[in-house]
Amino acid sequence: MKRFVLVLLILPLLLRPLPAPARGILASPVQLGLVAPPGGAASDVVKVSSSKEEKNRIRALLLDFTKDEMGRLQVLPDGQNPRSCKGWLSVDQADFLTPETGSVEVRVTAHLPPDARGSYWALLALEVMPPPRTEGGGTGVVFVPRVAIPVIVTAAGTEEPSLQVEGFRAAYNGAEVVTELAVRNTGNSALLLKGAFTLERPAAPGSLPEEVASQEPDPATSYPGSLLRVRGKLALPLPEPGLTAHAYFRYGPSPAQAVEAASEVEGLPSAPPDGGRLAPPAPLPSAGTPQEKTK
Amino acid sequence: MRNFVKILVLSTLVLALPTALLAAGGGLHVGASPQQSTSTLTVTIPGVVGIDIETDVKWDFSLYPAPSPTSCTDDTFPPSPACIDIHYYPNAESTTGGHPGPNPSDNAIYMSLFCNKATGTIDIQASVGSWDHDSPGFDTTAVQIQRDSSNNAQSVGPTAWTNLTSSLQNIGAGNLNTLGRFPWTRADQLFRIYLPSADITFNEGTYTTTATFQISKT
Repeated sequence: MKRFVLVLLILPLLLRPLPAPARGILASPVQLGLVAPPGGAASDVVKVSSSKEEKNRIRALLLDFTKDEMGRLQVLPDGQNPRSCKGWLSVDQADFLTPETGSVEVRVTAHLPPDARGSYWALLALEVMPPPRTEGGGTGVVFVPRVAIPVIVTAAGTEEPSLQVEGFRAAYNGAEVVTELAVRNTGNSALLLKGAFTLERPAAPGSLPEEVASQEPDPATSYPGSLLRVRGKLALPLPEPGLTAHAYFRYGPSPAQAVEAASEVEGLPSAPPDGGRLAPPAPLPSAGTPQEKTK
Repeated sequence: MRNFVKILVLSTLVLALPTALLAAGGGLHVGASPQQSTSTLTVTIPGVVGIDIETDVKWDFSLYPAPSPTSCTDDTFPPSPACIDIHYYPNAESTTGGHPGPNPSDNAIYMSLFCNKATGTIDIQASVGSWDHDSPGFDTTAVQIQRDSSNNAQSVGPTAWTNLTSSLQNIGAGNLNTLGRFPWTRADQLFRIYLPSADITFNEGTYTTTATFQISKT
């Protein structure tokens, strides 16, 4: 009987599945935009699935964040984003299992206060929870893969979009012209910036400037109060003096919702003087100087 | 007469087809052969972002050999009296089998990333938590990562050994906007513990912490 009992006790330990290290998550969409009138509510769904045919335990967190000048996301401690909507957001599932195949829909809902004006934002972080710690075998690190989805909530009808150019630079690096447009969102709503950088040849009198190169950088989101630097690269295999760089960007449908900037291009040769020479002509030998004859 | 009425009714029914049947596509075309019509094909692809990690890393100090008393060598325990600092590389990693692509290098984790949205900014960040109980004698921020030159075509991760911190910090680099369109992009990272001081007091026991790797696309 004793032996039988012993086997029964050991068996559950042997049969306990060892936790697999593999953990992964996919989520869609990559960013949420919720719009509702002040005092109203809006919601949308994020689809979450395992990265392979295995179940994963997922935890949903709401966090504060900001973006730096290059548009990179930075998670903030609570209370450090003055335009946080974290307290307005809720998720219908905060702790769930993703199936081996298929996805789970997580509904994100925002309840706006009556005095909401413009845009506010927070981060929905979806992370894969590691299995419980097992005993023995040293000191270790288990990994938590996480997908972070910005949620931007806008109070409909209260938007005051405004963007100001704070600088525009263009420089030639031997192969291309690198441009950087700095814009500050001086309004109260998040803006999607779309546009293009161009290089233009100066126009002859009576004609329009000629476009030499253009590039459309990825659209970027500008948050109220923040400075955003949008960069571009325009191929220029042969340097050409006198080119100017231009930036044309829109942030809304109306003609007034656009910014423009122009700049000389640093590093390009100067425009040649009249006569077309890039340098003064070489001095001629003075009279009487014997000239060397080539053999 | 009856046949005429029947034909008239049938003709009317034929001609009075629900307009919905004719509204889609290029419409009804009749006439001499050949005839063509069109159908609109719509493909909707959602923006998706993903991250997958297949490895956990472990340092079993009981497996490190004893040191030389006169010189400092990495991966020896306890550290030699000659050490002013020492590195410990993982010696008990576990990687899930059956994953696509080659196994991670020694001391590296298998990590792959996916994002199919071509515009915007991709951020890859990492942080480390606290030990699950007490402390092995050094903080979790002694854990360092570095991009692995193998299995990391987009050069994601810091070029030099970098301490993980308790707050998320950017580790992304390389051409992230071409990341994982199809298929997933491997972004393996090397791990080690770096102990810079001889004042470390090792505490017997087994300790675990979590490292978070976060991907976002905005």
